[in-house]
Amino acid sequence: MKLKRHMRSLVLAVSALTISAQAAATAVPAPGPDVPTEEARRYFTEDPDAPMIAPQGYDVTIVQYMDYQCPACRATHGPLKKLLAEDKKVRVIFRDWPIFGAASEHAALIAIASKFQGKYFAVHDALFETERPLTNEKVDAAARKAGVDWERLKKDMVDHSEDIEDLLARNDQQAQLLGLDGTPGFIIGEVQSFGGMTLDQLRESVKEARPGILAKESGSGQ
Amino acid sequence: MLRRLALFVLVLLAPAIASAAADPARYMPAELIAETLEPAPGSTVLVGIRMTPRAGWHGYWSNPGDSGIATTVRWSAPGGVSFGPLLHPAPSLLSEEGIDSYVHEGDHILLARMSMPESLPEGTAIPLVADLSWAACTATQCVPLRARLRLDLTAGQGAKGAEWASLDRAADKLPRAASGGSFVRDGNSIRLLLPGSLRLRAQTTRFFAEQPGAFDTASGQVEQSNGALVISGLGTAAAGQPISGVVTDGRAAYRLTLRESKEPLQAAAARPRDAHKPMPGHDEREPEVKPPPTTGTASRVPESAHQDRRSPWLPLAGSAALMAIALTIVGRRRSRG
Repeated sequence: MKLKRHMRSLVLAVSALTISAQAAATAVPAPGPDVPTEEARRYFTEDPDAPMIAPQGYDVTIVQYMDYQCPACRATHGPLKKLLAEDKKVRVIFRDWPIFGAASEHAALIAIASKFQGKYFAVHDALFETERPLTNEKVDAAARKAGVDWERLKKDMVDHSEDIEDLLARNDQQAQLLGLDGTPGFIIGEVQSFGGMTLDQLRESVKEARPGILAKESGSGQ
Repeated sequence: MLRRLALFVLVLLAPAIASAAADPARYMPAELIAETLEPAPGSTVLVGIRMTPRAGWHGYWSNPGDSGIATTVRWSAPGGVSFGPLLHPAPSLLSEEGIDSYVHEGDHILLARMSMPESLPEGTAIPLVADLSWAACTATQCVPLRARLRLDLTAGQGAKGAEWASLDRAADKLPRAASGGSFVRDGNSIRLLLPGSLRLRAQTTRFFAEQPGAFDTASGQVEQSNGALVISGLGTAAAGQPISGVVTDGRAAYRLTLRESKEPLQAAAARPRDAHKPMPGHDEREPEVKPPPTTGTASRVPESAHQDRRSPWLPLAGSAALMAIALTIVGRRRSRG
């Protein structure tokens, strides 16, 4: 078990050469090769632009890399929602990583833009519930159904276009640094993984992460 | 209580990042093949994309189901050479966490018909290129894949190539065009009335609609009615439109276009069986209904619903580029909060 635990320990693959040029000023700068691990960890978890659900007093952080058209992401969405409903001390950071084509990219843009009016998770949820294959029209309809103020969203997409693009670039960079070839990817506590999870597997991963290694930084909601 | 942190901070080279697209060889290699390397001018030649998914991985049918990603190909060849649509073998149903996908498990070949122009002189080089975009998934992981596949052909006499037999077998496995059949509906409830001529095992028969959402394969309940199979299930087929798709029992597969019938089910099912008329537009490679082949598709469903979550990371360190780079391992102890 000890070996297994060790093998599953988070492998943070950080490039000092490429990230620093692209990270937004607001995000945690990319750490170099000799930086303390805490700084490396913060690069993945502390991002004011990344949508998140962060309850007061959370003690475990899940970072999720996902695409709205990915079957395995969709299969994990339900279990993750259930986990959040039953465990109020879990923070989830949603890192949209659209890799399955143009409709996925549009879905990620709409979802992130909805964050500026506090609707990210509603849209995120609606997109995972939308019948595939996604089209731009289906994505827009899902956002409206989720209660998005469409005029506000269009304005936010313009006003925050740079923030959104930078966030997507960071998400992409991180996923690649983590060695992800596909979705979904997770960082739970210090454990990195590739692949969807059942509710039991999520519970187990959170339990393993719970001893409190992650700093309890005050996070804000979306 | 102290817990050891094992954070490996890898210093990667920028070029390694820039080319980080997934390698199909790790998930689902694809190879471009043709029944002849010397296609005759004026002929139609079968070309194929041989997919060999690694154990546990699958690809998707033309309608991938509730989720999943359809395979697309963009052909490039000298002027005058044209290509038909990508033809898939019958899919199988994969249900995970309430999500139904229509997939290809195990080795399979996607086919296309390449038409050679009459005007091409023998000896002309035909560099064939297929820009392929597809997805490989397990029950828990999905990877987008892209590849530029090449095959060098030369206009000639159509001599059989090394892949002739395998492409012939793949063509034989394509769903056969069958005519007849209909469907009736009541709201979202749909009953598919299959032609009585089809010889299918009711226990394992499933219908896969080409149009997303037209018929929910997993909801289908199969019964015998007057010697024909009736599949009852749910769907949202567009009003006034037929439901086209593939019906298969895992051994034989047929391609059907079912038209809506306004007759009550019993009356519709009791109609005389449909004659075996060829479907317009299909060629001799997809003959009318004939005895089903006995071969099935190998199943490679992973034993565990959840993949080993460690193993995908190990190749990270296996990359030649990364192996040459120093790893700075930072261990650190922190006290429990």
